Amino acid sequence: MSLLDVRALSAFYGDFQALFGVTLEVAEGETVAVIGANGAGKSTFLRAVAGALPVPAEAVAFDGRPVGGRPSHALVDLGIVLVPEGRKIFPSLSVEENLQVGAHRRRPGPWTLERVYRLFPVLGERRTQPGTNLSGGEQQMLAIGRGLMANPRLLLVDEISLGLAPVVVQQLYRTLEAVRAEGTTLLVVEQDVSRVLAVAQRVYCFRKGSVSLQDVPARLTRERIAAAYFGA
Amino acid sequence: MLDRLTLAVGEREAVGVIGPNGAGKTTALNVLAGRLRPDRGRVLFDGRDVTALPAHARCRAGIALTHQIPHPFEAMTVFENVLVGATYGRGRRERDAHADCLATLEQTGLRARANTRAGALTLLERKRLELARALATGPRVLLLDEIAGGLTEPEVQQLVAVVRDVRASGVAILWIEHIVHALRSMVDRLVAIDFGRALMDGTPEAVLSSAEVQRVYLGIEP
Repeated sequence: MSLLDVRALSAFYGDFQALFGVTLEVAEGETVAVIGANGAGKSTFLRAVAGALPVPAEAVAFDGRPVGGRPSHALVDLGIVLVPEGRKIFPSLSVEENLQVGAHRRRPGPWTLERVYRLFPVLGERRTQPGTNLSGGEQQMLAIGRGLMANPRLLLVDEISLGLAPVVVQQLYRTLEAVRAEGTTLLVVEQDVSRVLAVAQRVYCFRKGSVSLQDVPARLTRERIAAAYFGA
Repeated sequence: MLDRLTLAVGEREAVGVIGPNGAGKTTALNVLAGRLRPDRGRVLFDGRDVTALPAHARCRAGIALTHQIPHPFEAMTVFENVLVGATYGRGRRERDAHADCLATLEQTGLRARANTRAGALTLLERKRLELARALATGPRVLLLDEIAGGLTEPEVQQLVAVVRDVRASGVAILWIEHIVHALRSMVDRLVAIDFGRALMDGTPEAVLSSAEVQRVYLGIEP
């Protein structure tokens, strides 16, 4: 059974329809990546799954139960956690306090302050500083660390490697691989297609609010990806 | 944040800056643009000491900065956003600036979006607008802070083409970016920064093949 089972999900911003019948599944323990041009609906999709947009209950099932449209905090209790686009660090809080916010409704699990500081040592060094004193890439680390602090079953990460140095991206993916091995399921939006093909078990490409391609990396050629991006 | 950093950009030159997160790259651009004051050291522009000049005066002098996360005036149109650069940033009178603003929109591929509210733009368009606003100030040097971040590969290439065109028009470029191949495709020199200092400064090939840069930045173990 899928951990996340999204069926024919449509979503709107007011009158504007951003998603048109998206169907997507993620099995427990999998890493699934969503790629696609900017504006294709990738972030909207993650927001809809995380309860930030109104969607019908039956459109999103988690662990076999319909959860669409539930408020985000209730979804965090179930283990669905979003690392949002644009980092959204609390400017009035320190690095450590930002992390503690992530633990507010934490489930039991491996992620603790200590563990996050081991993943991103620079956050430990700057634990008392305001979150917005960090560099852009460090804020991205903080946003990911804050998400992990909830001990998610399903971690949704928007633009996972945005602003991170290649060495950190490499280290992050290596760590996420370990997290996944422990049972956390990952659904990531990533622009780096070659990275996606190396780490994801399955890949979905979005185009204009719909799924234009889904497959395992071994069967994805450059031509098929290009066609799915641009609708050749 | 910065420790006796020395960094130079020649007229019409394109220089890329790489370095680990927190190395001081954005801080360096902010010091050059006048948003931060250095505790020690000087910023020279065209031979003149501009260390004491505030950001708006440096902008008028010809130093323009684009931000990592674009912050346009969301409720204003694309054209109006660019007009702010041309008037407040360059000192033009509004009616004299119209033609230049249209030319800037053309150059950055935004002409068809001129009357769109900036808040309705896609990410690539927001990045283009960030560039257009900076160009409207008439810079001699353009400081780019991760302008390609978050873009898909084809979008990165489109943006690189615009930056290359800007550079060909005679504007010097200082560009921070983690998308190393985008930098390598157009800069004359690369500077690698770590702990607020220049670790290495040379041709892209020389810098990227250095063992230290590979270790601290690219994550390649020897």
